[in-house]
Amino acid sequence: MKKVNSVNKICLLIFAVYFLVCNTACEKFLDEKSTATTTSPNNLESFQMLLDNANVMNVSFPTFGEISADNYFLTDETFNGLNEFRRGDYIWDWPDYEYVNDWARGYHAVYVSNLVLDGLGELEVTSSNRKQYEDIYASALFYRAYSFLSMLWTYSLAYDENASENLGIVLRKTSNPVVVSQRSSVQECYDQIISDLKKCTTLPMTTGHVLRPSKVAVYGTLARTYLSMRDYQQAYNYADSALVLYDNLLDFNDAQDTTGSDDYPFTRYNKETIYFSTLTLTANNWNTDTSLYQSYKDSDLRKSLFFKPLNENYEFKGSYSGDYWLFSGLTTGELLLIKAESAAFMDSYDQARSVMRVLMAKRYSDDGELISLNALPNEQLLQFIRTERRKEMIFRGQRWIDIKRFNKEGLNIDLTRIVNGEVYELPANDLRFALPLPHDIILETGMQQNPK
Amino acid sequence: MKGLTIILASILLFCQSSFSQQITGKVIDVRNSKALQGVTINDATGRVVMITDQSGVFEVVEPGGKQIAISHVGYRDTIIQTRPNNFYLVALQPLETNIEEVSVVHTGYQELSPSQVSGSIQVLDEADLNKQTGRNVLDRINNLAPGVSFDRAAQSSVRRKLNVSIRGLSTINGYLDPLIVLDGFIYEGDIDNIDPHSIENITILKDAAASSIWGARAGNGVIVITTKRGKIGRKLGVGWSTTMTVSEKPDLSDVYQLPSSDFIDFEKLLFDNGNFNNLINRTPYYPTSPAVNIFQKLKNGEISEVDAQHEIERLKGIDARDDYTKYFIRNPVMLQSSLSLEGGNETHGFNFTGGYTTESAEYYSTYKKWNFNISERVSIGEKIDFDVRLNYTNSRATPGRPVYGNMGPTRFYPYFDLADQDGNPLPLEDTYNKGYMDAYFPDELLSWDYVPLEDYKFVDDQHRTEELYAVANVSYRIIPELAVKFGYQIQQQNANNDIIYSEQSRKARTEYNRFASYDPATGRMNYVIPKGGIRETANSKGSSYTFRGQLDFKKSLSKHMISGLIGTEVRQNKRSNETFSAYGYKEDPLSSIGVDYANTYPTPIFNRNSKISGAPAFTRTLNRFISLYGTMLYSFDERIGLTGSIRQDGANIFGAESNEKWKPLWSVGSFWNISNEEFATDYDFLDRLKLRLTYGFSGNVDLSKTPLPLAGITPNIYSDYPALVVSLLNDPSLRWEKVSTFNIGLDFSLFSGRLFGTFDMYRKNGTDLYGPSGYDYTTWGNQSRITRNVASMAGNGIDIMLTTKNIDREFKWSTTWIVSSNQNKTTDYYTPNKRDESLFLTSDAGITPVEGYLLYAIAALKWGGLNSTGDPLGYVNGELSDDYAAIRKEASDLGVDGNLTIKGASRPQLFGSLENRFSFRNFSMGFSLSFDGDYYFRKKVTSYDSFVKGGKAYSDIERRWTKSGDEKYTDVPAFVYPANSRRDLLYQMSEINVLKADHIRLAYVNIGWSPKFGVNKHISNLNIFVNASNLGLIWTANKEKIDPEYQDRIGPLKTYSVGFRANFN
Repeated sequence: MKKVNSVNKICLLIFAVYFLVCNTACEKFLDEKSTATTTSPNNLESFQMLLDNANVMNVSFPTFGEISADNYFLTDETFNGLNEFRRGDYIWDWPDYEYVNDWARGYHAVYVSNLVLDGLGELEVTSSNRKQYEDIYASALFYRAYSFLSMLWTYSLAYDENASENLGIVLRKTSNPVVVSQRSSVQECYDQIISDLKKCTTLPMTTGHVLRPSKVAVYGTLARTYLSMRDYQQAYNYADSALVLYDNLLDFNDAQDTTGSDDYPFTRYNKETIYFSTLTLTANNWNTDTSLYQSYKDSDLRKSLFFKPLNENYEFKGSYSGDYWLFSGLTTGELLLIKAESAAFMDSYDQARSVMRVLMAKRYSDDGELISLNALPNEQLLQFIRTERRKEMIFRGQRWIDIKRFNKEGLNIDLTRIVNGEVYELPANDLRFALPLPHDIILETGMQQNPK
Repeated sequence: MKGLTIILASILLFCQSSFSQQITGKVIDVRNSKALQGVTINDATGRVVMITDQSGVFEVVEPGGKQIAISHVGYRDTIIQTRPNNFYLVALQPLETNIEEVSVVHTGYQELSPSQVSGSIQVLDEADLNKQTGRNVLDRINNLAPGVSFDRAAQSSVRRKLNVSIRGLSTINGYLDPLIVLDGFIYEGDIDNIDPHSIENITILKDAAASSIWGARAGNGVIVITTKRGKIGRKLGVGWSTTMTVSEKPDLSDVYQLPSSDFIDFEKLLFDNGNFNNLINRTPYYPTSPAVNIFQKLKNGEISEVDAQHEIERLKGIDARDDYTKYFIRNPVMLQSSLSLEGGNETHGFNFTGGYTTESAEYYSTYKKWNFNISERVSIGEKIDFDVRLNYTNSRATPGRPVYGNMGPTRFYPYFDLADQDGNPLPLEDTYNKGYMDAYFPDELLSWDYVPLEDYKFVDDQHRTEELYAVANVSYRIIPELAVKFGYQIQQQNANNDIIYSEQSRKARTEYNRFASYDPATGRMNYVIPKGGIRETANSKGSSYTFRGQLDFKKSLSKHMISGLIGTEVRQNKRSNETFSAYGYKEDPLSSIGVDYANTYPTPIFNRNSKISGAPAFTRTLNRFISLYGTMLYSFDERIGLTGSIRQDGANIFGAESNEKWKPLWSVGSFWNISNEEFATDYDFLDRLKLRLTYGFSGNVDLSKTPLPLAGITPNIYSDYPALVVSLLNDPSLRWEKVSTFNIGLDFSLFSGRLFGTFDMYRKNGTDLYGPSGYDYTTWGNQSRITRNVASMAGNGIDIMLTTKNIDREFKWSTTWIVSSNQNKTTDYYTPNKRDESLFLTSDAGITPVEGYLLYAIAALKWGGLNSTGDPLGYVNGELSDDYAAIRKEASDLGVDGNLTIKGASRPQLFGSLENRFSFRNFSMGFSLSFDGDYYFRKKVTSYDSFVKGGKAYSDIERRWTKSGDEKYTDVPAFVYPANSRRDLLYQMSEINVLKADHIRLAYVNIGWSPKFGVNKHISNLNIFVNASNLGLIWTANKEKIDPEYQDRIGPLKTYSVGFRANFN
């Protein structure tokens, strides 16, 4: 009996110890992460990695505007082979469309930026991480502002005196999905973009990679912003500030600056690229607008570098992305054009001419055009620069906002398309220039859809 | 054995004259303790000495003998060792079943007798499992249990690996599988690894009282599998079984294919409309069908009209199924063999089972599996009990020939040949256009050809798995009322898949070619991929361990009995995966050549840059649980009882708040053994009647859901910077799913077992069920839907199992009815955004987001017939309309208040089986019908958009509208080009294509012969059987005779098995 008793006691003791150990150690035991390949981002390294996901952050510029603009046309055969959504896009009579779309892509980049900003708010800034902290902070602001800008150009009317009443986009400033989305006014949107960009001054002048933002990219984006608002003074200032920091230009006359390949003449991340971004979709069977193509002079090196034959017409191959993706980022060429156009608008004609000479020297094979530039009367200078702008920036996602902006100045650019014998028109300043929001977003949030 | 008996017998004979002792006893049936009359008692020499009276009592004057043998028709013969002047209670087991285990219910934590159970539980034994001959355990429990249903149309996914459900599905996005418990511990391995021959008993726990002991993983019910194990006091026995199964060949005509002639006529129409221009002009490297090639050549003037016509006629005469069937299909054959050994003495018992299965399947895939199970049980005195079990499985599989429907280019065409008339293998264009590729640097590159009849010979694809599952339990009885138990389980599973593409394989050649580019500067080709083979390896490891400590107590005080257990359990489950590819791979000498996975390289033919695939990738998951559990049983006089159980689980769900990690689940129950009452003895016909009542909670945990955002590494094709992407949106309001179940049940047996069965009625309430939900994707944008707590459901059902012994003489006939009804409704939908209703229009797997409707239902658009130009008409605002966008919009915006109707359930609400068994002397026969009823399915019909893109059509295309007036006879719209997917959708989702899915199937037929040998010396069982399964549909409610579970696909093949089982002990 005695023996049994002590064995019993030992048994119970073991059991009790096991029980206790189990319960106290359980917290620690359950703290282990359940999946090693996922993480909840909460430090600077993971924030940087979120922003470096170029597929989300850099390939989110809406294509909707370029699809709706006049740089290209489709043959009847191509049109008939499209699904009803693309057909609707082409004739500016959109069916209700849903996910997946440019809105989702653009706001994905906004979400990531907000997630980083919210996460940074939880982190402590120390002297050792200050530089990295501020870089990431500014980068997140930049990506968000860049997305807001490109979406504002797509889904809203151009900036004008009614900007405080006109519907803009949703300015999401938090990653918390519970906060309800609401459309802000065009004025509020521009104010937000400008204020965000101005906070980015801590970024270095240039960075290791053009996928990441830099001070030049910030100034360049501010220049774009003000240009689309028709604030030519500010556009000039920022374009100029950017060029002071960086002014490398590809010389189309120089064989070193192009690949020499028949298919894609430019390399990705070339020296003229300041910030890399592309449109969300690719062009399929887009025939370059005939009169636009013909406006390229024979001495214009862009004529052969940008285009290759497609049946009886020409299609675009000159993307700075180096493949069939359409580059929409910032280049020195664009900055020069913004500076020149702004100067011309403000009557600084000599300034404008001298800036254009810099660009045109690298775009034309001889001086013919430069000579006619000098001979051009001042009143025609603005139009000349704008034509150069269209030729340089073709298929870069800028045409749609340019049309809207020019029409605010009375240029009356109407768009016309002829398909299967029928004529479709989009008159200047039509409400449809503010492209429609996705139908499922309207249903889900109750926000107002753009009027037609 | 033989020798021992001889010695005993001689001793007996010798001693016969020495003593005259009396032995008395009573013989009862072990199932219901009923006394058995007319039972034969034999002495050691086999001579009949006594027969039991109507109380089952016998008295034997046995001259000092040591044993008597008891035998009775329909029962297993039993030998008992006797000592003089003793009373023996002998419980006989019926012959067909190894009933020693039927009376024991395994919950995984304890073994109970049926009288102590309040929950809804069903036990299946070896004989039940042997009614069907599949190699997978779950195949064998099909048709045998009420409430257990197999969803043959289910696609396997992370949340649903098994296709079985118990009492319907009560969750939407949580895990859908019931919990599998093997030898007392949770089993997360591949169910294919468990050898059906090694199983002794399967217990299915269906309601909350039964399953709440298993906690948060048991919301879908529990299937407890117990393998054969050593038993104390078992005699040495050997068993052997072999089964050979042959099946019919699959018939490809079960899947509709548009006749080649019509198909080519359509191709001409599409070609003339420019449908293939994009393909031909923009991507000339992708293949077009032979007919389109001819049309193009004719257009370019490369061949003459006459030649073109001739070739087209030849192509029209080809049916690709002919060659495929000739070369790639055979009769599947499977062989399963198993050996078992058991034995022991008063202190220990062991069991060894070994099995081998080999299968050559219909498309030439192969599967081989070895199983070993060893178990040893040791019992020392009354105090210590120790048992150890080891299960080991080793399998190897190779894949079969390419799937028919995947052969050829993106747009399938039905007239390809695998070999020419002389049997020479032909190339098939599926990825690359042969004409175009052959012209591209032919001298510098290898052939791009894919020759289906040859290529598989150059691919060595082996899938190997190995699993070890070991369990050890030790229990020590401290005092008679209290025992302490420790249990430990360990599992290790390795799976490895190596695919070696030799240098001559298509894959190796085309990868080599794809990355080759011409360098104009040097005038030479640059090769990035080295010549040689390619090896793709995927390894996965899984391991788990569980440690359990438990205290069992039992105390009787006159008529009161209280028993129970409390315990804690710690569990870890780890899985890891790695994949990588090697290029320039050679087996002799074994080597590979390194490649650069980091950078992109040009693939000139395709005008883009690509990265080389196969960079090493790793994943790892770790799940940990800690649980506390307890059960209690109080019973009074074996008549009334109360049960309760409670369990608290904690898991390491990533990021969960600590109070969310712990959640108690509980249940209470009661039972009343009416047949043990005083008044019940007045009713002779009542053998057994038991009433059960239970109520409890279970939960469903999905370990991948957390309230914080989760991000994972994503490949970055734009730069070398590592990149993260958020794959799961943060949802601070996320909660666990909860299901409560109320169950009332009746177990009965009447007229001495002539009629017996169970009846259960239950009601379930589920809240906070996860479901896919639309959301404002301005907040995130990465997906169109996210999973949220979206709904509540209520379900109710009835499970009935009734067995009647219609004739019980020398000729026996008994019938078992299994009928289940199960109905689930959505009672609340938290985000009443009607646009989710249109979810049904694309998928039948989503839940009904409308209150008051069936949880899983099929919705359809109202149909308005065809108009005079063959276009389908729907309804907008109650009026006929062909504005397809408006029709879709109304369905989205108004749902069932508009042009959408809900036809009925998408899963059977009534299902079950009917089994009849006949036996005459040693022969037996049985057949089983299964039925599924009260539900609907959506008939697959042609979408012209899919047909234009993918080449797939259904039989309705032959009945389409072609000329004016046809709209009176047909509902199939006219073909239009360009295709209009919204127009197709109206037709596909219309109510005319939702049909009743009720059907009856002949599940299996068994015929067996079981001669008996010996009575005293060696008790042997031999059973020779023939089985036919999957015998097809007997009746369908739909007039078109479509099999709802295998619509437009090859159904399960009819299988025929022959085999034998023999036991010697």
